[in-house]
Amino acid sequence: MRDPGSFRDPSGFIIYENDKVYRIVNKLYQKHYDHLMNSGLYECLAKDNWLVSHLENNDKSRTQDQYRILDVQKIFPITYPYEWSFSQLKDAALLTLDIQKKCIEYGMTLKDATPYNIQFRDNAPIFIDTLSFEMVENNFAWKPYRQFCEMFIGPLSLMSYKDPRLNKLLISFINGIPLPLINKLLSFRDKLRPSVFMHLVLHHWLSSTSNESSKKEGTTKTIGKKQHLNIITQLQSFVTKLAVLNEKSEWGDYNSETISEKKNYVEDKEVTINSFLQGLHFDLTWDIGSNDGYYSRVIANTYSKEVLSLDIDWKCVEKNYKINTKKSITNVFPILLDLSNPPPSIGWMNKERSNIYERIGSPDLICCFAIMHHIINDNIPISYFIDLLCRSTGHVLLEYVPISDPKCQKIFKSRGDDFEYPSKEYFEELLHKNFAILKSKTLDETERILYLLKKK
Amino acid sequence: MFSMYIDPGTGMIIVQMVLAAFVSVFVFFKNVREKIKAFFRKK
Repeated sequence: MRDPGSFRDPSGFIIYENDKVYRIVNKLYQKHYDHLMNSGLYECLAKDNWLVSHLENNDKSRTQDQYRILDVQKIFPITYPYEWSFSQLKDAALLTLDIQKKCIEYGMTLKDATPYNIQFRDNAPIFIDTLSFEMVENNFAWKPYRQFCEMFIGPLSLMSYKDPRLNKLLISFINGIPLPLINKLLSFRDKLRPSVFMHLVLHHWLSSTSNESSKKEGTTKTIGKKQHLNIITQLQSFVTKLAVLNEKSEWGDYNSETISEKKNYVEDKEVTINSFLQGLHFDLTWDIGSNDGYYSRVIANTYSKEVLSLDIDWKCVEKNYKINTKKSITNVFPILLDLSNPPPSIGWMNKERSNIYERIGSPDLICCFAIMHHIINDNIPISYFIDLLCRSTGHVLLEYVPISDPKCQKIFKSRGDDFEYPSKEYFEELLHKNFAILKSKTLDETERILYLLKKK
Repeated sequence: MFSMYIDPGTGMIIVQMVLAAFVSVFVFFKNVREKIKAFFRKK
């Protein structure tokens, strides 16, 4: 099956067969592909895990216009920039710039610069598009410079100076946030920063004042290698210094606050998780509402090969990513996910970039610690929540939060008399339809109950 | 060779030429600043 999102670049495309990924290289790209492979650039990038590695496949038959078929290393999960935190997008931008610099050393350049060319493996960014490299000789003008500004510099600046959730704009703008819009959203003060002024304000101004004649005239003008490298170095310095505002998020400090408030509860929860899961092993876990990933790491450490930590809050995802990279934890990957409005399918015919549930696999363990009251607060029926748990092919670890819980009292205090919160009995009755309750325990210091469920 | 499968935007080269000039000025002043800093550090 051809990847429905792999059609923009005529150099080749991706196909999937029997759970394997193949990249077709068209004859059109032959010269560039040979240079990538023979110049030593591929080896250099693959050795440092900057570029996904491949093997040339000589067994599969090729059509007349196909030059090579590559067996490409599979990356899981595939995620998109609107599902990343600030630092994840920043690291992707920095890798793109590092690769561009390396390309120049080998007489090549990147012909596109989009975050869709980057994925994360072991919590580090990796470039996945082997056909993005193009030979360069005299003119070092960087063709995807505008794309880089609209896909990376603009979103990162908006996230840094305005609000870290603004990468969600990339859902609406698949080719990057347009420069005119970025300029409208940034304040006058933001625009006075030299790098913002150069790459976003001046860039937009020059683009909008250049007419067709200057475009034609431009084809005879060139940018030198040194000039180009200066621009890339300046971009690296700018991106490296970008940071998010240190504002308090709804959930960012939740775990540490909870630990200080209810130490016994937190300790007992960890002990209970360990006792429930003893002897069990999972391939893939979804930790839904993972907060900063504390329990994801507990599970990844002993029980699960891979854990995807899903959370609505950018600050939790940011913290989770930073902890994992700092501790070199490779099997916990944090993803931004609003359960009540998950990232949809976007692009051409709504097939170019698939929705999140098509990309995050089929878990054999789902963990939902203390999120059911938030789901209920979003007016999502509890049966719908249980449907979500049914996506597990095996087990579920679930924390029931009763209405008497102080958090519930706070959340639901303004609800009217007709508001009904599921009692423990009703909740268990619903669970029984799809699950067997293997174990349950009331957690210390609370009336919350932790369940270990197995799908019927 | 320039295969234009993405639209580089109007006046792509002019934009980068102006930008390169700005960056040179930027780098020049940055170097001057570093040299001044280094001079006082030595003292």
